Amino acid sequence: MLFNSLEFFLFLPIVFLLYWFIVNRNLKLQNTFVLAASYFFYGWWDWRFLSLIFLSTISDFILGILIGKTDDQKIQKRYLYLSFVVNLGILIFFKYFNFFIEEFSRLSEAIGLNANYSTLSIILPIGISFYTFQTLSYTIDVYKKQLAPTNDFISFAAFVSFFPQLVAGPVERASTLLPQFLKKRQFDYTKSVEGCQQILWGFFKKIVIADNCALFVNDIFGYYEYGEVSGLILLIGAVLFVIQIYADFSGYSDIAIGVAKLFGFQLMQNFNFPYHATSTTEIWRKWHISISSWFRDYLNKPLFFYFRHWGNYGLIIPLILTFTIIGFWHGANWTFIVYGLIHGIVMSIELFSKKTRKKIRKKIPKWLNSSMGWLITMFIWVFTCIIFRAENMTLAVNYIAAIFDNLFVLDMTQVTSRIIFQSLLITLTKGKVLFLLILFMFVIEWIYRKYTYGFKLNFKIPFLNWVFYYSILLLIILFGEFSQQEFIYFQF
Amino acid sequence: MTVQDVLSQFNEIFIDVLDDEDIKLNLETTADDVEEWDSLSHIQLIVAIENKYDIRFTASEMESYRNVGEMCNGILNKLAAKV
Amino acid sequence: MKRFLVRISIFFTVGFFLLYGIGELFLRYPVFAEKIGYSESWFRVYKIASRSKEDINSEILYLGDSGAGQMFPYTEQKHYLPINGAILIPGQYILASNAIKSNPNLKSIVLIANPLSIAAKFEDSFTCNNFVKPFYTKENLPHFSDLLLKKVTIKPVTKFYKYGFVKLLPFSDIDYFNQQPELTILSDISLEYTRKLVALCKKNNINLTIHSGAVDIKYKEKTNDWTEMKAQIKKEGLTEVFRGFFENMKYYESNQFITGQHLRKEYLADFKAYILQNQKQLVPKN
Repeated sequence: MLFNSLEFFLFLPIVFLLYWFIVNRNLKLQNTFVLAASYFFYGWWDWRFLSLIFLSTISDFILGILIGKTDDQKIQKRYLYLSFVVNLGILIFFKYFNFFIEEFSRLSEAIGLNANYSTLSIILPIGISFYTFQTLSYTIDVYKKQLAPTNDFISFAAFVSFFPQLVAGPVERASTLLPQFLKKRQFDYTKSVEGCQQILWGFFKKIVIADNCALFVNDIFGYYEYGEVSGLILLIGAVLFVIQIYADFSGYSDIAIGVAKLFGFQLMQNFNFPYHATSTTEIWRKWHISISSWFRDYLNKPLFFYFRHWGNYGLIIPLILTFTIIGFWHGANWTFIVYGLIHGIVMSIELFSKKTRKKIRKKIPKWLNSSMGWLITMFIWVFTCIIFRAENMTLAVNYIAAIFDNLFVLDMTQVTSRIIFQSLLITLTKGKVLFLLILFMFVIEWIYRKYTYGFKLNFKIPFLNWVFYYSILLLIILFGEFSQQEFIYFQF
Repeated sequence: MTVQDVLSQFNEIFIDVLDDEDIKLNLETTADDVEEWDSLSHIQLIVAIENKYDIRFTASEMESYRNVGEMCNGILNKLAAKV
Repeated sequence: MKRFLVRISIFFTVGFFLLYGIGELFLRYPVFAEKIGYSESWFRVYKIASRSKEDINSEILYLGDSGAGQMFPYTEQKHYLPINGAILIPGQYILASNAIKSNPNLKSIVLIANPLSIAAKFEDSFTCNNFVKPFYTKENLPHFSDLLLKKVTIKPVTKFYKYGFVKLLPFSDIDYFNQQPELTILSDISLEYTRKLVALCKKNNINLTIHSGAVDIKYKEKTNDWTEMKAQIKKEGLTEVFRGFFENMKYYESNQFITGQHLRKEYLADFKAYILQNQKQLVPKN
């Protein structure tokens, strides 16, 4: 079930009312209901893949208990590894199997072996990269003794499959979300109102900003294969894509967090206004926090620790390795690997230029320093996002080269260039003011940047709040783009 | 060596690694209290400490220290075990 | 809790009336919607389709897919109404039926479409926005056959799309796509509605011609010169309406198209003249 579907619009109020009025008598009933609703939510898309969630759930539930039962570190470690095998095994098989097979046969051909391995037609189960990481965090936390293993299977299964964040995050840590399942939730008026605000804002970002940008982005990136689009348009396409992914990802997270609030749960902030960042390191502290911090805590830190006596290499290797893997997490394609690799390299450079940058910072005015930082950061971000979006590395490289090739030549004899440029102009002038809407989004988010989401209205006069709610609703209805568009997140 | 001795030596290491003259540690200081203390500089601090006292931490020991005081005591225990 | 429920109910009740009002306003006065910048893709189709109810002041009506629209753009003439292939043959049928009703002088209808558009199956990602939302209205309901209705409402929630304001709701569309490749023979609904179209024209004494749009040469080989489709048309007894369809089919090289079925600009005039000439031969003079 998609958040922006008619089904979900009916599902949510029904589940909400049942949750607070019928099953609120005791905790067990409440959790069982959350579990049932979550499985229904996921099964609506494809019930067969529920078995994978169940497999991941039951294995980590049992392994958690087993780890808790023994004091022998060696045996505990073995259970931990088993959890890795199960979860990463599921993930690798369903997401990366064909990629590895293809690359492997290409490699064997290159060294002269006549290899012909057949690939399998595997459907990527939605949300697989998210829930496998969430269950993994449980076993790791139990292993590290940061969390006591739970004996309550229903609560644990509900924690793994909690529908607001099941298919596209935020990926919660067991140590913060699981305890919330173990005590009874009380309805909280303020939190619920905040949840509704956040849901409304999330829909605005997704349906109005992201989906409208996507129309152009798809056109520009699609036509580009015909070699028919001029440099300026390509650059506009890349910038629109950068806006699209932010609005799409953070919009989705807003809806997920908002929905969870309605049920008395607090999920973690997933985006902390990343485009206000003045360095790539800072962007990664603010972008998709639930995943980047997962990799920081469970991969980067141990790597740093392991390589700590290697001097400067001990800093570079873990950074580059971690970010390459974060890139690869997004999908089985070289483009994602390169995307991550570049970010790893940039962050290593930022790390070693720390002292130099500090000296510069002292000499020039503050605004100049931060705007320079912002420009450089966004420049790198825009160009790496082209790689992120492109179908393959050849197209990505060609795209970037073509931008620089004829950036200021708007060749109107190119048919598609003209078509796209005209439709852009039409959109900008003819009421469907995409440009103004984007500006509106960033201004509002700038105003509320101190809060955990970008639309925390708190006017003294309640009437003003309502004016804003209905304005957003109207904007969504009038300017939203509702053609079949899934959240980009789901692919990961 | 007392806890206070270790603490003052710590302070020097912190100033050196984090490149910040204003750091004043006490036994209750945590990572949240020092601006530049993130996961990366944490590792650099550990390396500096390990080299100074010629000791080695395990990953789980590192995880268990919640503030500077616990870390100081950890070092004292290790040094005592060595002798 | 009570306070929350009361407020959220007020929010949705007011929202409902607001939405209902806007929906009715937009559907009745598409021009107004256009003025304030509403240009959802289903609505663009709806707006063009609603012109079929107007007086076109011509004896001939052109329908077709977007390839036909390149030569007979609806912006140019009132009797040019090609929209796109995704409105499917049922959509073309509804257009024809509206136009016949409001134009007693109408003598011929020419449907210009690529064979793939004529074959098009209902189960496609574009169907919701191009056919279901613009055409599935209470007014058009009598034109919906049992088979078509069953397909439209394959998910129970789609029944709500009948109502104008539901079309405005910010929900993602139903994706009817069924993973099957595009057809090179007439789909079930194409077959049913071609028959209906033939019957409709016969009843109203109107000449119906179906002319092929420009076809990429690669399909000639791929379909073995449309052997299957030809056999199907013969078997289903539709030879009469498809007279000249295959004989007059004009192939172009792949690089003469911008995308898929859309010819490059430089070939349009030539192809339009070709169609008009063939059509003269096909339409018997009264």
